[in-house]
Amino acid sequence: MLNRQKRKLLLPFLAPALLLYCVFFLYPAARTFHVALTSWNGITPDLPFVGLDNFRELADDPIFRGTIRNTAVFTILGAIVLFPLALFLAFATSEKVFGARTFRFIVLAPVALSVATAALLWKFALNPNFGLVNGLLGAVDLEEWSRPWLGMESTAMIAVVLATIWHGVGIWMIFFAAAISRVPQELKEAARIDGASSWRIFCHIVFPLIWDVTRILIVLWIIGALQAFAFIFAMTGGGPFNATNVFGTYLYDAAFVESRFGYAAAVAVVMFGLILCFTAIVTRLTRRATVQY
Amino acid sequence: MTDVIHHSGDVGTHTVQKRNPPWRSVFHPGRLLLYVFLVSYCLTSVGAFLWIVSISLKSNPEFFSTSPWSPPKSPTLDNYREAWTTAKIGTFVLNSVIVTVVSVVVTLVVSSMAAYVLSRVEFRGRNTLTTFFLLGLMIPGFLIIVPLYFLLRDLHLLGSLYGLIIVYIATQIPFSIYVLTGFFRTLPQELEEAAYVDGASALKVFVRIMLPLAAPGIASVALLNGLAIWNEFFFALVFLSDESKLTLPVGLFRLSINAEYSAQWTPLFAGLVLAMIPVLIVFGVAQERITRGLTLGAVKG
Repeated sequence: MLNRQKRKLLLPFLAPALLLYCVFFLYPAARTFHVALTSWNGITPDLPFVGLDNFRELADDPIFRGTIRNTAVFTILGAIVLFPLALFLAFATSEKVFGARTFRFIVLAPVALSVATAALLWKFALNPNFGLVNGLLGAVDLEEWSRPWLGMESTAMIAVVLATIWHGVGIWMIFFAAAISRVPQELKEAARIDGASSWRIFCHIVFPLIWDVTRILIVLWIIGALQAFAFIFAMTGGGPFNATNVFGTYLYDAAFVESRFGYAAAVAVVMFGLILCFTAIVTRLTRRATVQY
Repeated sequence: MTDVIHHSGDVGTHTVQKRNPPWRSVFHPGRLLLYVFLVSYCLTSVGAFLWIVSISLKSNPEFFSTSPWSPPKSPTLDNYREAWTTAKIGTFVLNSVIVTVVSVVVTLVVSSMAAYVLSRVEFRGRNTLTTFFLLGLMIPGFLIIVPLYFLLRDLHLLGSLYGLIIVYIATQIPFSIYVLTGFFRTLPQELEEAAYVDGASALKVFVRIMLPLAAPGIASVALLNGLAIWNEFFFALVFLSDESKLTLPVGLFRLSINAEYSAQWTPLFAGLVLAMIPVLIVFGVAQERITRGLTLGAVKG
């Protein structure tokens, strides 16, 4: 009787979510695979079918190949900076540290800022004319180190990566801290009584036990990094000379600057394929027996 | 970094019962290095923020004539006045508030209804339908942007806040349903049954009993969705064009592009401060809940 009562709710309760989700989310996602096979410019009513031409052109485009390289650099460089930093911040503030809550709050606070806000903050700080960074370098007599950070091919990517990580590291710290807090206290105490240092406790007890979480986080980082857009768009626009041009900025330009919507859809399909592949590969590579604790 | 942690371990090696008080362990050499790192990291963040605030208090001539990190000589709020009115920050804030509030409320209504049915009512195809909704968690914004652009154009919703709101609702549904179904599942069966025995209708049970019980989960989802929408950049950038319709992130970005030509930088810094203060306050107040919600969302990958 209870279930019969509740079943009356089925249709009216499911319909709104289902309708919005299908029309404005699933349908466009599916349609992208169709648009990717056309040379649509957004104006003609019908979509001229061109088969796999867009994908062939992508494979031949040196700028797109550069985009692949830049996205890879962004992802790897980001991971190299992000994971040790986030792990360190999480482990350090999990220990009995004076002011741990304050530290966590300050590290986490940028997460609440809009990507646009955070990107502008660092764009201004790195500005060659009035920027904070060059100003400080001048103040400590390192004027020759100052440079247009975002205007040089060699430093633009690093600057963008660091700004991205500054903005997001708090979330990753929280993820790691949550994992670390699930490591049983007795294990750490026992090791400590046996004379193990914090570093050894971290390497031999904490890290193996949070490896499963780390694995998931690496996958999440790769998925996110492949879609990097807002920071790069707001800080460099993909420049200088395509040095920070990644999938996201390339797709944006193709679609909303050049009106080559079929081509842009093909980029989206490649991105989606890569995301699926990486998720599968990394999950497999890092799979190992789950440690029981 | 390795050294830091290595030495700091010595603090605990002598005895487990008698801990050094935190303030004394600060002076341990390993701890000290750890603190130096933590403090300098945090000072960078706070410093960058204070720098923006300090410039927002300078006049444009002073900004160009003095060193970028010198404190303002005669602090003025003119930039804020100008940012709010001339630079239309006020309009951007209003637009962002409307978009965020409407999107969050509608997403919550629609998703909690669906999540309730998916988690508490037995019917054939329930698991398939749940998976169908969760599929959306795997779909990135880039995969939908091109067809969505033309869908909105054909519906005459391009460039309007309504169109953006609909997109935000649709894209937040999978995550909201994911969290809320998890939450509804944990609620006890007895209260629900008791209400039915007392003759309450299914709708009444949902509104009067289940929703209030799920309030913590709903609040978490509301906060996370609210932050995400308040800060959303990509969709707003693509779908909005008219200056009076921009949301805050895109509006600020547009202003920064204009500032490159007009050299009116100081109001922009005031605009940045205006954009940062409310989220930082919300964040300061609700940090615990947001943190918990973030950990909850981490599992979604």
